[in-house]
Amino acid sequence: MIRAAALSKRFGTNWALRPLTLEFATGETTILVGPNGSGKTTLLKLIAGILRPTAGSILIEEMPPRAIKGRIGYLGHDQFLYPFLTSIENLRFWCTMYDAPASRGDRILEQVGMTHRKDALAQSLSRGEAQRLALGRAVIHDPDFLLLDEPFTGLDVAGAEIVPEIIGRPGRTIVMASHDRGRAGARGVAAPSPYDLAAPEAANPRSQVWPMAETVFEMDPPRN
Amino acid sequence: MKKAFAIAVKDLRSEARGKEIAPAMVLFALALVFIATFAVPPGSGRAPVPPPVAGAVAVREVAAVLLWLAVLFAAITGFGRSASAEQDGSRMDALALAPVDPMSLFAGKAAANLGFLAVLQVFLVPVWILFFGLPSRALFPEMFAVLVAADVGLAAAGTLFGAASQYARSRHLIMPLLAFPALLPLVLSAARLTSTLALGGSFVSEVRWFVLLIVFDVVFVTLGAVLFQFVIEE
Repeated sequence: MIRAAALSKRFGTNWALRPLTLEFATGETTILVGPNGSGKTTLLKLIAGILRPTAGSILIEEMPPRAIKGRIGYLGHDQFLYPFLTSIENLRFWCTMYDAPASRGDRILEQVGMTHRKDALAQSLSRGEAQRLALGRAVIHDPDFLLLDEPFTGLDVAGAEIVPEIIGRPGRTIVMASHDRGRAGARGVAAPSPYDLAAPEAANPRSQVWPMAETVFEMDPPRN
Repeated sequence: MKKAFAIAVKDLRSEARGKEIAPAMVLFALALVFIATFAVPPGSGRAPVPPPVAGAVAVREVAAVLLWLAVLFAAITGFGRSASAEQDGSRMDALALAPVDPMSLFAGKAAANLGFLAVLQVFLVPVWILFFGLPSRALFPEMFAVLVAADVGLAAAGTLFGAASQYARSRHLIMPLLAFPALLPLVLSAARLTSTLALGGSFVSEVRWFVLLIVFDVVFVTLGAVLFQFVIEE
């Protein structure tokens, strides 16, 4: 259970997040939707423990985020990749940081469909390839809590389709931010791409395996 | 320890491929030493050391100070870039999210900075000896001890101040403002020892300056290990 109580964040005189109280149930997938500036990224960073709240509290299993940071996976706007390391070196580096075996890096690389770019420097990857690698990095330690900020950015159809396989796991609590109300909330699922929204259900069996978004939480921009 | 090693290897490997830090440090320091040699007659460092005269300064003493000024300026430039490399793309946030002991993080980053200093000095010291015509026999092997002792303190302090300055708006200005005053005693000690060696003096007679260097090493390593977790947080 992730529990936010009167959680707020202010940068200088600007409120990024007005006091907010909400809960994310264990094992559920929640989509945060809202326009730019509504505080989705700030909320995710507060949950991850990257930012400290101006007021209020955030508890994950009754503990502050930093106390369980090894169990949190986070993918933000930045991909956290080192440009002069290869794809596999990046993943193995994060394996070491999270006490995961190095073989996990090879497995994840295969899972995100990047084996053919194993020895390519991260700086030479396309935006979509880097995003695949970043998704793999976010789950390299098999986290119980996964926080994703616009995870489909830069992904092509094939890339978007493998996202559920990468992030889905029974018992994992997923909180995902999207600025696209239609994309995140259509049919009660987070549709992987605009192409899938246009495609008939029958022609798009992949959408069936997408984890159901039990909750769609709509955020409004704070009035400063 | 394993994580500290991985962080250091990651930084050194990135540098070996990207060449963003060490070449700039080397070129900057070489340029400083080269410009300084214009102020002294060629080969004057080879001249016998004159007997001490009140107010007079030997070329070798000036050369010693110049070496450490060049190292200090180049180090500040390099360490700032090294810290920025982690901050760019918020990778420091990612490291802070991982179950990495801040001490390991500090140790890894400081070890990489120590590597950058070693690369700098491999190029700089021979050129410095050559340009000033200094007696390398008088300098070595004691000079190794001075370089290592000074580098440990420089790397530790540079890593700490580099990370601390990253959250400031004008971080490139803050870094030297923080580091120069703090590193002055360390650089003065190293310069004094180098000067003594260059003049053919006894290392043992100036051992108190070496002790001072070690004290600064202990202070900066301890401060870095204790404070690093605070400077990398928001």
